[in-house]
Amino acid sequence: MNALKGSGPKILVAFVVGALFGAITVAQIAPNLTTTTAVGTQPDQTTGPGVLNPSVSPTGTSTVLGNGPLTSQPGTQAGAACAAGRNGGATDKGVTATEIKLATTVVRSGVGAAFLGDVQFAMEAVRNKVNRAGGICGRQLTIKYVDDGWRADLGTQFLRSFIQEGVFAIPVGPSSEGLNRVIEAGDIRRAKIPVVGTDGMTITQYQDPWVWPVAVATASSARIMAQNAYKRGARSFAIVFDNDYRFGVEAAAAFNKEVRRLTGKDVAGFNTQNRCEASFCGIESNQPGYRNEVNTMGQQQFDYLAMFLEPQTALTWMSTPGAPTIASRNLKPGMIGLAQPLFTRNFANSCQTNCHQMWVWTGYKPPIENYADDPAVRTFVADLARTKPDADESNAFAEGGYIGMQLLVEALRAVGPTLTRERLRAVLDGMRFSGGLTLQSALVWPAAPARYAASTMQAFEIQYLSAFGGWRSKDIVIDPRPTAGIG
Amino acid sequence: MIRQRRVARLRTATVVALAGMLLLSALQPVADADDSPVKFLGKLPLPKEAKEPGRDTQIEVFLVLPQIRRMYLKFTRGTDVLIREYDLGPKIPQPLREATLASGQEIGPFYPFSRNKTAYDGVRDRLMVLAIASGDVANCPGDPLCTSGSGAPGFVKLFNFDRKTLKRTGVFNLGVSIPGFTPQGMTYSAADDLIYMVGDVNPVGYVNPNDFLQGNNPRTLPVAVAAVEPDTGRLRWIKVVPECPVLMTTQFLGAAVYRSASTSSLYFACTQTGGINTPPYPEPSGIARVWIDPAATITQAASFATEYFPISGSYTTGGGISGVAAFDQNTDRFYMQSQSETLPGVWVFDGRLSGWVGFIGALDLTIAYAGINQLTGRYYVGGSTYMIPVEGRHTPVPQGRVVDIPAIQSQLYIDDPTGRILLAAQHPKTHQLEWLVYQDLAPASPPPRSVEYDELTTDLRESAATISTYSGSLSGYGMQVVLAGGTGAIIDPYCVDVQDFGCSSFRQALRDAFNLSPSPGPRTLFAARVPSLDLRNVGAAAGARALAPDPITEGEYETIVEGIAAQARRGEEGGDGDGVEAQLAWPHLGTFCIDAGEDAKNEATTSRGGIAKVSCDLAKERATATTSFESLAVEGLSVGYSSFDAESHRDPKVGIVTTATAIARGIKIDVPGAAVVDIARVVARSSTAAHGSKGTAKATWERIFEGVVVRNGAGDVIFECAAATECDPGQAVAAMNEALKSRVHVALPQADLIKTPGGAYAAVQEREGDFYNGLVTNDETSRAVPGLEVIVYNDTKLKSRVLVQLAAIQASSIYGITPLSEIESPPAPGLPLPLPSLAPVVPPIIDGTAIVPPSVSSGPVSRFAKTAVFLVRSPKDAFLFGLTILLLGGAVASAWRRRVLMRHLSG
Repeated sequence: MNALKGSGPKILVAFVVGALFGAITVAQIAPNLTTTTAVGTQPDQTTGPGVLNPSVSPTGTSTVLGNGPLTSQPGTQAGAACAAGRNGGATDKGVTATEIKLATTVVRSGVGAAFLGDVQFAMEAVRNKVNRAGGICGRQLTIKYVDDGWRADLGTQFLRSFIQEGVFAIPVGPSSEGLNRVIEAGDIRRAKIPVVGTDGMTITQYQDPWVWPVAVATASSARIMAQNAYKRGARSFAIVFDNDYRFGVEAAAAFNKEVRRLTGKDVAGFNTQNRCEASFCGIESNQPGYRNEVNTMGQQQFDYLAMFLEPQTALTWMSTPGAPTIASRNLKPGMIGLAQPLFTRNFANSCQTNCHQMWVWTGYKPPIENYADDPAVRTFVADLARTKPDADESNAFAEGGYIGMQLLVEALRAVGPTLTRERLRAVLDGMRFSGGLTLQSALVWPAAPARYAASTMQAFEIQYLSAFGGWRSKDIVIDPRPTAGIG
Repeated sequence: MIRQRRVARLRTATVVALAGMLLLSALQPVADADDSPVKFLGKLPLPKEAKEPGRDTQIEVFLVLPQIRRMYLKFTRGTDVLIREYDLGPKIPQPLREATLASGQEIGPFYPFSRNKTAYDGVRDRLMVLAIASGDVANCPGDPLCTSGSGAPGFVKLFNFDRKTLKRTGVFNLGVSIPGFTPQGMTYSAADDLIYMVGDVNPVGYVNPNDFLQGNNPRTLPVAVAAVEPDTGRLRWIKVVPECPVLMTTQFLGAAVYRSASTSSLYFACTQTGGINTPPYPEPSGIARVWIDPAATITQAASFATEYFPISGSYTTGGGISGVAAFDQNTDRFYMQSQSETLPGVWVFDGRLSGWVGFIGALDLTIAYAGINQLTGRYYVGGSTYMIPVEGRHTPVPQGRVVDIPAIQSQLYIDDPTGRILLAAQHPKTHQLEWLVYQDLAPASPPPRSVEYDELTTDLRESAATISTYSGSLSGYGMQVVLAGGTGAIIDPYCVDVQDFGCSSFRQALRDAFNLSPSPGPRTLFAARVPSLDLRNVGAAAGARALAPDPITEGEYETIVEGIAAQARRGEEGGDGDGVEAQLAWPHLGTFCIDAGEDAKNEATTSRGGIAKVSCDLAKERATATTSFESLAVEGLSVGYSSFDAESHRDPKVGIVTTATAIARGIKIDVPGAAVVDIARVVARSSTAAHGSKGTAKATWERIFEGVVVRNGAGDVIFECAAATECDPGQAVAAMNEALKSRVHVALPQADLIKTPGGAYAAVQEREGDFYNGLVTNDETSRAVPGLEVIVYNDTKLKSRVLVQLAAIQASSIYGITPLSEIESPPAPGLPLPLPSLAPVVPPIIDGTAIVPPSVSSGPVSRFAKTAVFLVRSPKDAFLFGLTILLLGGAVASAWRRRVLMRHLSG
C-alpha cells in the first residue's frame, strides 16, 4: 500500500506532463482562428444604442473581463442612462452631455508623413461612423488634430496644451515622438489622461498605466525579425536604423540583444552611441544621401539585414549607390527585413526592384492576399475609402489608427453614460479586445510597465519585378518574450 | 533479469512507436508540410505501358471534362496512339475504358494532344484533335484529296472521335478546306456551334514546321483566325490579323485561342520573338482581341475590328516560343506567362476593363505550366518545383502563396467542381513520370464589393438635429513623364543576352567608371503638381510643387550633389563645397499648409520657371493650390507651359465643392520621318459637388483642344483645327495616330464620373481599367484622368516605355448628413458588416441535371487515416504526439505494474 502511495505522485506528474504535451500538440495542430470566443461578461445595456451584440458578430468581439455592467458599479450617477439627454452630462474633463472632446497630434508634414499621414483619415473613418450612429450614449466624438511634423518638441508642446485644455483623452497618438516625450516626462500619468490605441513605436508606450498600445512593440518586431532570420539560417546579422528617432534606437538595442542571445555575440560594430560602424549602422534620418554609411555597410558580410527606417529615409538609403539588396548580396528571399513603417504601397512602389523579395513585417491583417476576404478587413477598407478615397489602405499605420480608434470606442461604450477617465481606465485594463484586424486574435493589457498586448507579426514579401505586383504572404511569428522590452 | 527484459522491451516499443510516428509523418507529401490548402490525394492509375522504358513521357492527360465527370489520357502502345477514359467521381479518378485512336504516323509528331489542340464538342458529344501530320491519313472516304498519296496538301487534319464509342468518325482535311492556313490551336464554341482556329497563313502552301516551332526570326507569315463548321470542316470565314507580330505557338502546346463567353470576341497571344542568335522582332508581344460575328461571311470578316494590347516579357527560350496562356471564361481574364530571366511571372489582362490588371511574380523562369479553375477563377502558376495558386478574379491580382511540388513536368489540369489538380511529376528515385492528384481546398473567394457611399447619408435636411461630415479632395498635375521600366529597361536589353559578361558586369563597369549605380526601377517627373488638397470637418490641407521627381530619383540626385560637393571640399584650395551644394540643390521645393482650426495659412515658393502657392483656411472652409512650370521636354515631345489650379470649399447650398483646371500649352510631338504634331493648348476642367441628399451629387469633366496641326512625314497638313469649338479631340487624336503609325501612340483616356444617387459621393477619376492598366504596364500610380496621353513603346523582354500625360485631374466630394441622436441600428464601428456569404462552388448543370461534385472524403477507414495523418503532419508533431501517448501510456503501465506488484506481495 505504501508502495502504491509512493507511486501516486509519479503517476500524477506523468499525467500532468502528458496532458501538457497534449495541450501543446493540440495548440500546434489547431489553426489560429480569427474568431475569438467572448470570455467573461458580455457588454449589455451599458453599450450605446445601435451596438450589435458582439457575440453575434462573425469576427471581432470585445469583452470586459471580470466585472459586470459598469452601470451597476459604484460611482454611476443615479438615473443616468445611455441616451441623449439622460447621460449625466459633464461627467469628467472634456465630457459634456453632447460631446466627448478628444485631441491628438498627427503627422501631415515632414519625414514621417509618408507613413503616418493617412492615420488621421483612418481615425476619422471610425469617428464619423460612430457619430453618424448617434455617438456614444448621445455624445458626439470631436477630435482635434494638430500636425507636429513628427517633431518631438512641437509634439510635446501640443500634447501639453491638450492636457491643459482639458480634453478627455488622446486617441491613437499617431505622432509618436512627442508622445514619447510627454510619457517620459510623466505628463500623462500626472494628468491621468488616457492615451488609447497607440502605435507601439516607442517602448514608453508600454510602461505607462495610462497608455494602451494596440501595436506590436518595436522591440518585439526587432526580436521577431532576428529570431525568424536565425531560424532560416542566418548567423551573421546587420541593422540599419534611424538614430535620431526613438523607434530606431530602441529597435537597434533590442535587435542586438536578440542577436547576442541567439549567436552569443553582438552585431559587428555594435555601439551604444548608435553610430554607423561595421554592420551596426545608425543613420540620421532625412539626409540627402548615405554614401559613407552605405560604403561602411557595403564592406560587411552578413546573412541578414534589418532596416528600421521611416519610408523617406529608407528610400534615400535604397537609392544610394551600393545599398544592399537581396539580388546584389545574393541573399535568400526575406533576408533583408523591413520594419512596419515601410508597409505602405508608396514605399514598395517607389523602392522598385531594389526592394524585391524583401520581407516587411506587420502586426495587422493587411487588405491583401488571404486577408482581402476577411470581413473585418473589408469593413476597414470600405470605411477608409468613404473617408478619403485615395488613402492607402495597405498602410499598416493607417490600419493601426483605425484599430486604436475602435478600441477607444469599444471602451467608451463599455463605460456607458457616466464617463470618467478612471472608469475608462478600469474598462481598458480589464478588456479583451478582438477587433478582427490584428493578427493576434485578442488583445489584453497587462499592468504597466509591461502592457504588451500584441506580440504576433507576419512577414510579407515585396514582389517588384516588371511592376509592383504586391506582397506575398510569408511567416507568422510570435515574440515569445514580449515583456522583455528592449531586452 | 525479468525487469531487464521488460525495460528492454519497453525501450524497443518506445523506439518502434516513435519511428512509426516519424515514418507516418515522412510519408506525407511535401505540399502538406505547411498549412497549405493544396493537399496531395494520390497517384493516378496509369496504363501498364507506363512502366516500359521511355513510354512514360508519351502518357499525358489532355482533356478534363468536369461537366460530364470524365477525363482523358493519351498513351501509346506499340506504334498506336490510344486514349483512356477516366471517371472523375472517385477521389482518385479511375479508368473506365481504352480505345485506339490512330497510328502514330496518322496522328503526326507535332504534339496534337495538348490543351490548345484538342476540344470537346458537347453538342455532338465529340472529341476533336488537331493534328499536323506528314504521313497518310486513313478513314476519310469520299475525300479524294485526303491522303498525301494524291499529291494534294494533306498537312493539317482535324480528327473527330465519338466520345460514347471512342471511335473515329471522320477526318477533316483542313489543307483542302482552308488552303494556305496552318492552324496552331483551336477551341469549340457551343453557343456559335463553330470551331475557332488560330494559325499562320502562307498562300503558297506549305509552312515549315521549324518556323512556327522554333520561333525563328524574321517571320513574315501573317496570323489569322478562322471559323470552321463542325459538321463539314468547311471554312465559314477567315480574318488576317496583321497587328499580331508572331503567334504564340508554343512547342508541345500549340497556340491558345479563346472565345469569350460574355462578348463576341476571340482572344489569342502574340509574341516578340528573338533570342540568343536573333535580334528581337520589332513589334512588342501582346494580346489580340478580334470582335467577331459568328455568322459573317469571308468578306464581312475582313472588316472585323481588332485590338492589340502590347506587353513586355519573354515568351521564347533557346528552343523556340515557350509562352503559356490561360483564360477565365467568366471574367475574360487572359493570363500570359513570361519566362523572362530577369522578370519571370504572369501578366494578367482583363477583357472587361480592356487593360492589364496585374503581374504575378514567379520564383524563376521555369514557369512553363498553368491551369485555371473556371468556377472559382483561381489560377495556378506551375514552375519546375512549385505551384502558386492565385485568386485570379481579384483586382489588383494578388501574388498567391507558393506551394512546393517537386519536379512538375506537365500542364496543370483542373477538375473545376472539386478543385482537384492533375499534373505529371518525376519520381525522385525512378525518374519515371507519374500523374499526381492534388486538391485545392481553399474556398472560393468573391471579389471585393464596391464601396457604398450612400450609406453615409440619410437624405435629411441639415439642421440642429443632424450632423454633417464632409470632405473635398483633389490631386493632379499639368504634366507627368514616366520612364516605365526605368533605367533597367534602358540598360538590360543590351546586356542580358551577352554571354560571359551579362548585366552585372555591365553595371559594375558603369559603377567603376562613373561611380553610378542607378536604381533600375521606373522614373517619374511631374510639372505643376498638386499631390493633395483636402478640406474636411477637422482640417484644411494643401500641397503643391512646380517640378518634382520621384523619390528615388530625388534621392539619387541629392547623392550626386553631395558627392560633387564633397569633391569640391577636398579640392586643393579647400573649395566651396557648401556653395556648390547650394547651387546644385534641386531648386523646386514643395510648399504645404495645414489648418486644423488655429489659423489660416498661406504659403508660396517660386523657383526657376516655377511657382507653387497654397492656402488653408478651416474657418472659411476653403483650401486652394496653384502651381505652374515652364518649358519641359523629353525626346520627341515638348511642352511649353503647364499649370494646375485647385480649390475646395464648402458651400451652404451645394455642399462640399471641388474645382480644378489643368493646362498644358505649346505641345509638340516630333517623330522624324513620321509626323509632327502641334497642339496650342490642352485644357482639362473638373468640378465635383455633394450635399448628402438625393440628386445633389454632381461631377463634371471636360477636355478642350485648341490649335491642333498634324503633319505627315512629308510635311503635309493632314488635320487642322483652331478654336476649341471646332477641335474634336477624338478626330484630332485619330489623325495623330494615323500620321504617327509607329511605336508612338496618342490616347484619350476617359474620365469616370461618379455621382451616387443619395448625394453622398461625387468623383472624377480615371476609369478602373485605365488605372490598373497604367499601374501595371506604365508604372503610373495616380488615378488622375489626363487630358491627353502619349506612349512610346520600346518594350522588349523588359518593359520600356515613355509615358507622357498632360492636364490630369482626380477629384472627389463626400458629404454625409445623419441625425444627431436618432439611431436606426447601424452596425457598430469595429464590428464588421454582416459576413457576405461566400459563394459555394456551383456544380455544373448538364441537361437540367446538376452534377454533384464527388466527395473526396470517404469511409471511416479513410477518415481515421486522414485524422491520424493530420495529427502528425510534421516530424515535430509526430514526436510530440508520440511522446504524449507514451507518457500517458507510461503512467497507466506504471499503475498497472504497481497493482501487479501489490497483488504479488500480498500473495
